[in-house]
Amino acid sequence: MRSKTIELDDVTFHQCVDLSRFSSEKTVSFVPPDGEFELMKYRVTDDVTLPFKVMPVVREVGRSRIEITVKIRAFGFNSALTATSVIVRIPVPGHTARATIDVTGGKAKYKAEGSSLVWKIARFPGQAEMQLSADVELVRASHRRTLHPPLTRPRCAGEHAGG
Amino acid sequence: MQVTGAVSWRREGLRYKKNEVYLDIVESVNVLMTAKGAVLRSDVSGKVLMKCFLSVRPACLRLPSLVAHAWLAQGMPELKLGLNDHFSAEGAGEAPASTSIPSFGGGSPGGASSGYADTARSWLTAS
Repeated sequence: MRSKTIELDDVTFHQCVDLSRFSSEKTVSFVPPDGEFELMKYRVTDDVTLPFKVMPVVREVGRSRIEITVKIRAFGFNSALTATSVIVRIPVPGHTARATIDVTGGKAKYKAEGSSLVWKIARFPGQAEMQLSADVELVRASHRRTLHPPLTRPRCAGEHAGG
Repeated sequence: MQVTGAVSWRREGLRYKKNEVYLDIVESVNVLMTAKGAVLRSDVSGKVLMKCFLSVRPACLRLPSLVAHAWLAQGMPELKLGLNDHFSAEGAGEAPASTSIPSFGGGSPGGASSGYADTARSWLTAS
């Protein structure tokens, strides 16, 4: 049994939930609508226990190639459970010419519009391990540095990060 | 409303041969990490989805696996879900209006903790 408290942020309930009983009795009490509905929505931002361990290796080979290996292990949940719709976006330079990608599970593609490799795994069983290996070829004529964006343009922290 | 039992989100006079309730907890985990594997940002967004097919007067509805129960509230089925011990909420409100609810921690009546809290963060009591 976990002793840690899980704090939920931005909790919203369907209008059918009796909010006064939620605060006094800690129960979600309601007269349900008929059929399908969303009872509750929430977010967790503190101390998120990640279900996956992601091990990326990015290696620049000269100025025209990047070798990327991303290994993912579902260490946080047991093999009886399955994560669904796992998506891994790996940013690549804007002047990527092509990418040759190999995956041990799921499907991966180079998406020029978003300058990224998109790896989709529909079902990821607990304790399983999957790997992506990509060989990214860059346009040779480019004078830009390969992995680093120009510093003059403001951008979000980690926008160019892998994973 | 309290007198007649009528609520705007539910029709009156519904009948089902089999009274059924389905509950799904769907969580998306989002992580942003650097090329070296350091986590920059992570969050979970969760949804509790339900499907209810309940008669106005269910003779006997039991949901043992959820430690939830229904009873008659002015002729309407009413559901009550118990919460996991390790659950606390801040700023809970009815969508879209945000009504603030004081935060709390600690035990819940009849609550047993879920078997896979690590990944599912299942706050509903699953015994």
